[in-house]
Amino acid sequence: MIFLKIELHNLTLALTALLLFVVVLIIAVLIYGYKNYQLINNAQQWKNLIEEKISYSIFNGIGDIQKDQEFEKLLKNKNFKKIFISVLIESDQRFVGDAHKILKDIFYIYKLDKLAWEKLQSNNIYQNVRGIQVMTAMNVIDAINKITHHLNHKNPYVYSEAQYSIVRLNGFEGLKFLDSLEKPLSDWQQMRLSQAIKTLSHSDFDSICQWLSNQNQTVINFALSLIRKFRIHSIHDNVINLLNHQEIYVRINAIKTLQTIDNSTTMDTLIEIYPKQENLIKVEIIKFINRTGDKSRMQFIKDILEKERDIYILIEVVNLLKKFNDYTHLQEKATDINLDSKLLTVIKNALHSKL
Amino acid sequence: MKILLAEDDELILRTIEHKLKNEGYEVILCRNGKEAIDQTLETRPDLIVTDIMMPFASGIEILSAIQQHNISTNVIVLSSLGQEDVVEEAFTLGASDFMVKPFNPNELLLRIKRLLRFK
Repeated sequence: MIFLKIELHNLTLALTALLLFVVVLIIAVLIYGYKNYQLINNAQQWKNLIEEKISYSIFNGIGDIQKDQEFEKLLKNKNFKKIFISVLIESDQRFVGDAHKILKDIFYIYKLDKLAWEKLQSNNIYQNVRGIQVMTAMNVIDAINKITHHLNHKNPYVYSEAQYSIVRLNGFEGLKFLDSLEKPLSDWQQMRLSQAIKTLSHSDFDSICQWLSNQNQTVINFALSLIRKFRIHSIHDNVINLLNHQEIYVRINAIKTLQTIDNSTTMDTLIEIYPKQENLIKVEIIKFINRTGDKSRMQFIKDILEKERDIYILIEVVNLLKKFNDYTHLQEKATDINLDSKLLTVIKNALHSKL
Repeated sequence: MKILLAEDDELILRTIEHKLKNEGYEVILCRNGKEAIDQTLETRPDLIVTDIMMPFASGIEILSAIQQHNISTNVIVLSSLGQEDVVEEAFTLGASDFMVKPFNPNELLLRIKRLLRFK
């Protein structure tokens, strides 16, 4: 009986403790939720307030906002400063000229640079990225050294942001990291970097040529994108050499690039390499002829129509003949009883669109 | 002079608003494309500054509505990098000018003044 009483007593105690624990847990979750709600609520209000101040300053200058005591008080709050930094990063994509200069003035007047440096030197990757972004947006040249260290960061989010930042802050010089880059550059990153390069000088062409023989395929593709963007005709022959590259996507990109820098020899070279190429490359070569609109290659095109069996190649050839208004040949071909049914459909579609 | 601003980015909207109000223009603010079309038809502004990508209706749809209702007004399109095709379409639909973001608000003001000079 006594044993049973003790057991019951212990059980009651355990249940009470459990109940208390659950109650405490519920209260903690409620407090946490409320605080988060307050933070989100404040964040939106603060964002509106900051945007209002920025837009006012862009127009009236920064003198007036410095007199705002309420605003000064809010600046003692670290969360407010974080939101301020986010708004400045976003603003970088909105304004240039005088307006951007005012954003920069605001950054220093409110000592947001101090917080930006802290973020840049933090061990937290998200803080690092934020630090890099704000330094880039505010064009803080002094941060280049520190950001350069992040190029070797193990986290892709950090090193990608550092790559973009260095190029934004340093221009073409910032692309030096490509010389020894082993990690792949994503398509998105290539696009960002290319967009960040606004001008090139003649002396930069040597680096671009070197990247064309880089072991990292993505570096080659990026170099090709720069050649396309800036129409660098003097690198034509180096691009032609890439037509022997083992990687098919490099060759495809090389042909696309040649369309922007072609000369009198380009077409002959492409026709010469055509027979030994994979179907994807052959399609690109036909597209090349299509874009140049060179009718003198008509016999070559007609030969392809006779010899090739790949439907994608044939579709391109039919498109090309359509572009050159060579419907007679297509009509003749359509009467061929041995013709592949898929090709016949493509030809009939082309002839139908003429009507 | 009445200017309609159609832009879903609050900071851009307010900055341009400040600039224009100080220059003595009457400013109508629209935060989405549908609101901009309704306001254009109702208030017949002298000039419209519109973003291309907006909720409910795009800048292109605003231009189409202007053309459809035969409204005589100047339109400045604010575009982002990579929207060249859309800008071309905007010009076909009667846009008077365009600016690429990020842009300089002072430059926008000069273009607005130029277009309104003969109004």
